[in-house]
Amino acid sequence: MRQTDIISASLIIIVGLATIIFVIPAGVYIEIDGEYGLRPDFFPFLSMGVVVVMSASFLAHRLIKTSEDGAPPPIQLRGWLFLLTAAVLLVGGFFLFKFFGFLAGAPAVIIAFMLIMGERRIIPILSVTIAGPLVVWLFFWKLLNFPLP
Amino acid sequence: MDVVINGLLSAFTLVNFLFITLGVLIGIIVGAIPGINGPMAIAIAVPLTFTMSPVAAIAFLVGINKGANYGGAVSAILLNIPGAAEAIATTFDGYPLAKKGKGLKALKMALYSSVFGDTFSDIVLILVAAPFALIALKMGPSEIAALLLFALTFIAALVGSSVMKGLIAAVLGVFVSTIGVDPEAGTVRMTFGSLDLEDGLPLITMAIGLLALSEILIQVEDYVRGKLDTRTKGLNAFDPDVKKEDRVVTLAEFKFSMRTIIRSSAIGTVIGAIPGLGSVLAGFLGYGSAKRASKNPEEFGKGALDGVAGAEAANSAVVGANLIPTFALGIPGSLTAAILLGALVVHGLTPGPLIFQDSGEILYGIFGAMLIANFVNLFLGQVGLRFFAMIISLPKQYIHPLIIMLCIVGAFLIEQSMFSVGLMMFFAIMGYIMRKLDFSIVAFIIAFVLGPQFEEALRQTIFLFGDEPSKLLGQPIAIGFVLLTIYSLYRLGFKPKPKILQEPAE
Repeated sequence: MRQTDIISASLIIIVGLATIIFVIPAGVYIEIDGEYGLRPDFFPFLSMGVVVVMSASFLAHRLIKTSEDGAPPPIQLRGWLFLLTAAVLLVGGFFLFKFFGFLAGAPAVIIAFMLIMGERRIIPILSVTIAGPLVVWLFFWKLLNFPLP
Repeated sequence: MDVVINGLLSAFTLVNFLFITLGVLIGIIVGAIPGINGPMAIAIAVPLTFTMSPVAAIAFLVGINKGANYGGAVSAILLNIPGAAEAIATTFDGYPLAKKGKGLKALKMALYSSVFGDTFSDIVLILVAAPFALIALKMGPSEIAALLLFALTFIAALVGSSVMKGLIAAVLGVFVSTIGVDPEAGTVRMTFGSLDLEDGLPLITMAIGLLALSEILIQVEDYVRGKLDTRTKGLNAFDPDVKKEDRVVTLAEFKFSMRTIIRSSAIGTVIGAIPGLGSVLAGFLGYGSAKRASKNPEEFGKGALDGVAGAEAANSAVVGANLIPTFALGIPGSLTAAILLGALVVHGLTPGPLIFQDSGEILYGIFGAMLIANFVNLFLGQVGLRFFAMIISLPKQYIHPLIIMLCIVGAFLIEQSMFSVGLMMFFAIMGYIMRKLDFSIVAFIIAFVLGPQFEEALRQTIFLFGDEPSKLLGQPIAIGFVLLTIYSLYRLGFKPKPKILQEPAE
C-alpha cells in the first residue's frame, strides 16, 4: 500500500498543480476585479492549493516511513483490465442509449454484464434481459409518463 | 404549535402511507441482499419521487433507509454476512442463534429492537431539531464558516482508515463543488462552455455513480475473480422442526432485553447526532455496552439475544438522529443524510435553520411520516420475514446487471439528459479508483454538499472582517469551533485511530 500511496499522492499533486496553473485560470472568467469580496477563482485556487499541500505532506510521510506493509497493490494489472473492460461496456451502453434508446441500450448492458459474470444459460439471460427493461419501461414510460432515453 | 400538529397530521394520508410502505419494502429487500445498501438505493430512487409531494417523497426515501437498516440484519443473522455495514455487530450473536435453530427468534428481536431504536431517535429528532435550529439562526457568517470547517475536518478525519486521505478526499469534494456559477459575482467557473455544468454538478447523479455503480463494479469484479461467494445458502429459520418457543420472542425475553434496547437507543441517538460517526460505530458500541452490562457476558458471541437487541437498537437509532444536524444546521451527518439533503433541494426545500420557519408544516409532515414508517417497518418485517429470508440468496449475476441498468435510468431521469448519464459513469470509475485506493467517498460527497455553504459563509466573513481581522477575536463561538477543529485534527491526526473508527461510516 505504501508504494500505491506514493504513486497516488504524486498523481494528485501533478493533477492539482496542472489544475492550478492551467485549468482554473482558463476556466474562470474574471470580468473586473471588485473592490470588495473575493475573486471568483479564489475558492477553487484555495481548495486545490490545500489538496496539493496535503498530498505533498502525505507523500512526504509515506516516503519517510520506509517500512512496507507487505500488502499487494490494491489495483493490480487484472484490476486495471477489468476497469478498462467495464469502462468500454459502459461507454458502449451510453452510445446505445443515446442513439438507439432505452429499449436497445438496456438489454445490451444487461446481457454484457451477465456474460461477464459467467452466466451462459439462455433462459435466465433472456428472462432477465426482457423482464427487467420491460418492467422499468412500463413503470416509467407508461405509468409515470417519464421520458426514457 | 399549530404548525407542528398540522404538519404531523398531514402525514396521515393514504398516498403517503402507500409510498412509505413501498419505501420500507424496497428498503428491507435491498438491505437484506448483501452488497446493496440503503444509501445506494436512495440515490437511485430519488428520480422516482419527482411526481410526489415533498412529504411523500422524503417519507418514501426515509422509508427505504429505515427498511434497509433492518434488512441488513436478515442476512447478518441467516448468512453471517451483514447486508449493510451497520449490521456487522448483529452477526456476532445473530448467526450463532440461527445455527442453534433460533434464527426466527433472532430476526424478530432484531426487528423489535430496530423499530424501537428508530422510533426513539425520531422522537428525539422531533423534540430537539427545532431548538437546535433556533440556536443556529443566531449564528453569523463567521460562526457558520467555523462550524462548517469543524464539521468538514471532523467528518473527513473520522471516516475511512487514513485521516490524511479522508481530508484530501474532502477538500477535493469542496473543489468539485466550485464548478458552476460563483455565488457572489455570478461568474461561471470551470464549465468550459457547457450549459449542463452551469448549475454545478448534480449531487444525486454523482451519488449514483460514486455510491451505487462503483460498488457494483467492484462486486462484479470480485465475482469474476471468484472472491465473492454467491452460492451461500442461508440458514433455514423456518424449518418445521424448530420448536415453537424458538420461533417467537416471548414477552419475558423482550422485557429482559428492554434495558439493553433503551440504552442502545440512547447510544445510537447520540452517535447519530454527531456528523461522521455513523451507524457502524453505534452498532459496535450498542453491542459492547450490552455485553458489559450483562450478568452473563460469556454468552455473548455464542448466541445471546441481548447482543442482537443491543446492536440493532443502536444502529437503527442513528437513522433519525442523523437528521438533527441535517435539518437544523444543513450539515449532513452521513451519506444517507447527504442524499436526503439533495432530495429536499429537488423538492424545493432549503435545509438549514430557516426550514422550520419557511416550510415548518412540510417538515413536521416528514417527521410524522417517519413515525408511520417505523410501524410499517414493524408490520412488514413481521409478515414478510419468510420472503426476506428467501431473497437473501438471489444470484448476483441477475441482480447486478439490473442495478447497472437502474443506475443509468436514474441518472438520466434526474436531468433528462445523457450528459448526466455520462457524468454518472465518470464518477463510477472515479469511485472505483477511490474505493480501491482507500480515499473516502463519504468525505468527498459530504464535503461536496457543504462546499457551497462554506464558501458563502467564508466570503461573507472576509467581507465583514477583511478590513479588521482582529475583530474576529470578539467572536467566541467562531474561535471555539476553530480551536475544536485544530484539536480534533491533532487528536485524530497524530494519535492512532481506534480500530472501531476505521470501519466505513456507512
